[in-house]
Amino acid sequence: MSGFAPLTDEERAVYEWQIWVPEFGEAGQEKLKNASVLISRCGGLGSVVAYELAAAGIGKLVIAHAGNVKPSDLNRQLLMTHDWLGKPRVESAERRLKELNPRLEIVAVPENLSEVNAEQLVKQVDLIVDCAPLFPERYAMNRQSVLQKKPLVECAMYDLEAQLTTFIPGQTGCLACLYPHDPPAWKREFPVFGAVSGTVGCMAAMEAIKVLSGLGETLANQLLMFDLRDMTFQRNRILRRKDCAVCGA
Amino acid sequence: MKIKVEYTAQVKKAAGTGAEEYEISPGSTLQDLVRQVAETHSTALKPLLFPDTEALHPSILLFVSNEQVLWEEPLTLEPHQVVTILSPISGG
Repeated sequence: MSGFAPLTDEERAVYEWQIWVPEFGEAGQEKLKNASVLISRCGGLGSVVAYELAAAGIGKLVIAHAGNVKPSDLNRQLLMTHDWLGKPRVESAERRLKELNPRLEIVAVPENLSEVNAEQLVKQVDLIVDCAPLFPERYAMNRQSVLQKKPLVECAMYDLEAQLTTFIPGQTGCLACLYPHDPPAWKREFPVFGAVSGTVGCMAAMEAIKVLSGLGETLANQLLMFDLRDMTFQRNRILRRKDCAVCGA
Repeated sequence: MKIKVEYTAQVKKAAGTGAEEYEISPGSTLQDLVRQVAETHSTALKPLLFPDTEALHPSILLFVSNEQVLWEEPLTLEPHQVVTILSPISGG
């Protein structure tokens, strides 16, 4: 985005309730309007992250997700609809996001993030939200986050559990510090409820809003873990590895 | 002394429980305890924690009372500490 666009009267009316939030205000709303976010895969997590950021008035979203809508997407991928079964996921996502916020600029990429396209996708945005299921894709995103000095919000889920952290280049470690090697036991398909991905997706969107606007405290250097089976929440301090192959000195 | 061990995600599934207590000798390290956990659940959990070598698989994270501890840095446990063994999860 070129230049800094002030809020219009229409935007002041739409975002009135969040502009009332102390330490956010109109200045925070203007920062969101002028900010851009990459969401890699708009599935169970990414759909909710994108929807919340669109609702909050983010200026631009780049959404990357390959493939067509399948019946098994519909329990959690809230930007996918029955009438779009068999058609491209990013088209369904773009349509739903535009219904919610017609002012939003969307770059819909019908492919998953990879080593081939990561640099270009990350170059277009201020912040990345990693909602991808496979570690090679997450590592590609992480490398570009470090190289281009773009914050990376990491969210993940399994069963009724979820994990969330925020990496800020120069202030925290990175995904390769946390998980230096691809976990051998991880499978692309796993048990989960949409309400679990929705919960962590909302939290990830709030992390993005905080990083972009300067509001509150982020999960930098902290891993939030929770289990909705018994409603336990834990915040654990995580380490930066000095010998990290990606962000180490 | 007794130490509470908590499990997450696939580690929890393999252990068949979310948490259990272990009796360890004073002076035992975190690394001793994790080996003891693996031997207790040798069929399902040990292959996840120690798939190839004597070293913990690098994708498994350890926390002692909410602070991450690296496998390669031995830590002597103290009474009432809580150990969390975490396996990585992802999006989708």
